Amino acid sequence: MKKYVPSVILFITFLLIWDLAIRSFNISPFILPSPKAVFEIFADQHQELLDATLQSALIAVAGFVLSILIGTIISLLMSQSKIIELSIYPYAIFLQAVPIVAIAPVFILWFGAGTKSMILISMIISLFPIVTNVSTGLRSIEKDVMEMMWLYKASRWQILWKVRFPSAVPNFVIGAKTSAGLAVVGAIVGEYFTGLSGESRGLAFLIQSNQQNANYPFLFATSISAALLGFIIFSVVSTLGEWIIKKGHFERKVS
Amino acid sequence: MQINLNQISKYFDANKAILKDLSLSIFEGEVLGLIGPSGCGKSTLLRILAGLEVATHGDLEIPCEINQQTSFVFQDPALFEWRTVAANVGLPLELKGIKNSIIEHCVEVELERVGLLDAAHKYPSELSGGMRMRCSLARALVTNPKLLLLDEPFAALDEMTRDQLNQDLLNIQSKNKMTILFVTHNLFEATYMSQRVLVMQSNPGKIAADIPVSLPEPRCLDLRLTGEFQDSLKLVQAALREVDK
Repeated sequence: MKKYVPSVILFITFLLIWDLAIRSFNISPFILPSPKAVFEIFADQHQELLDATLQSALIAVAGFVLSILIGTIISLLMSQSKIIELSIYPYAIFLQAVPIVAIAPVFILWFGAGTKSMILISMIISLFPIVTNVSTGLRSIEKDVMEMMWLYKASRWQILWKVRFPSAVPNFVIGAKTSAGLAVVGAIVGEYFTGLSGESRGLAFLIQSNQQNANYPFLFATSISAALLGFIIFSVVSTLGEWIIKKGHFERKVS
Repeated sequence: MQINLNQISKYFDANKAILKDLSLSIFEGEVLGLIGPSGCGKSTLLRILAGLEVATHGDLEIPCEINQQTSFVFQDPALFEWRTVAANVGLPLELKGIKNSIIEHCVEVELERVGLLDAAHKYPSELSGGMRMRCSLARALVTNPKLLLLDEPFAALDEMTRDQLNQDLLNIQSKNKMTILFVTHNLFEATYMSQRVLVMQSNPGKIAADIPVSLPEPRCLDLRLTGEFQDSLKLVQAALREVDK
């Protein structure tokens, strides 16, 4: 618990400075609402905020899970065949470089302004950290180990199951941590593009409607909820990942 | 049954021979130490015997029975961190599709032999360097090899641990009578372990001296203090100085 003390103190100091700044410089609530106003929103509108956060969380989690499944399959194919790797990899890099906001409207055009599109957008943005990290993990096996497996006449499948997969676990966790944060970004960005007329009532909807209604304390509370959602999903994935590595002794050897 | 290498040459590029016209016979049950300056092709010779490299020229005659029962110990223990000691040692049998109950039995026998039985359920990260090497050795021995090839296996260990492992390996060999060929940089180790020390020279790599070491068997560590050990050591050292000029 002790290690959290400094960060908690910083947070309280931050709130105090925020409050003090508004009072002493007479800042308009249209530019910066007071912490109190934001807290009141959290207290009064918690149901609406929670519903929106859960809605976005579901989309992010669905996108994340899909990116893990698809990303692992792509990495697996690339690790098994040089030709597949050479044909897929350039596109993986290319797609990674394409800004998500540029392809989001295309997905909405194809799959409609609904949950399906948002999940796909979330998946596409969180896919590449999985692909790059997992394929690196599957490929980078020490020379000694590969020679040993060759001497034991291990089959390709045996090498995959008994060497490549376990070796790639730490890389998988690194990829999943990056991917988890991006999945939340994707879920919110995706919802933005469906607009206020869309069927979704997630965080992006709430942000947009509060912006239009000039309800800035609510806007702030929604933004903070989005940040918390990202943080929570990242923390869960990170903790789970570290636990798997520790429990299964998958850590890469230091010696 | 013996292994014969006739006029073996190995080129990694057309101009530079790592090994040149190397001939050697290895007899069953022999312990051979391979010593020489860095880059003289000691490891390459070992790797050719293991089948990890193919000679560019020359014949390699290995009886089929030996070829199928060869084990290789790398300098790095190359253990799987996510497997227990027992599961690491059982790996070669597991890959052959042998039944679990048989594997368990073989692993237990092997761990007993290298003194790792108490650590059977530990993970490599919990082991010392010496214990990791023992584990690697047990994995190599679990298939009951007829030929055991070791590439500077104990080089990274402290001297006490190295001595102990040398002794353990000799004890195992005196019971199993497998053929052992090991690469080392250590004169004492080469002389103490071997019935023959092969001194190699570099550029191009070939065997410069083949020195029989006739010391009383079974050997134990106190032997190193005797005059006859010193005499053998001097012979090996002189041969090594000759090639290092």
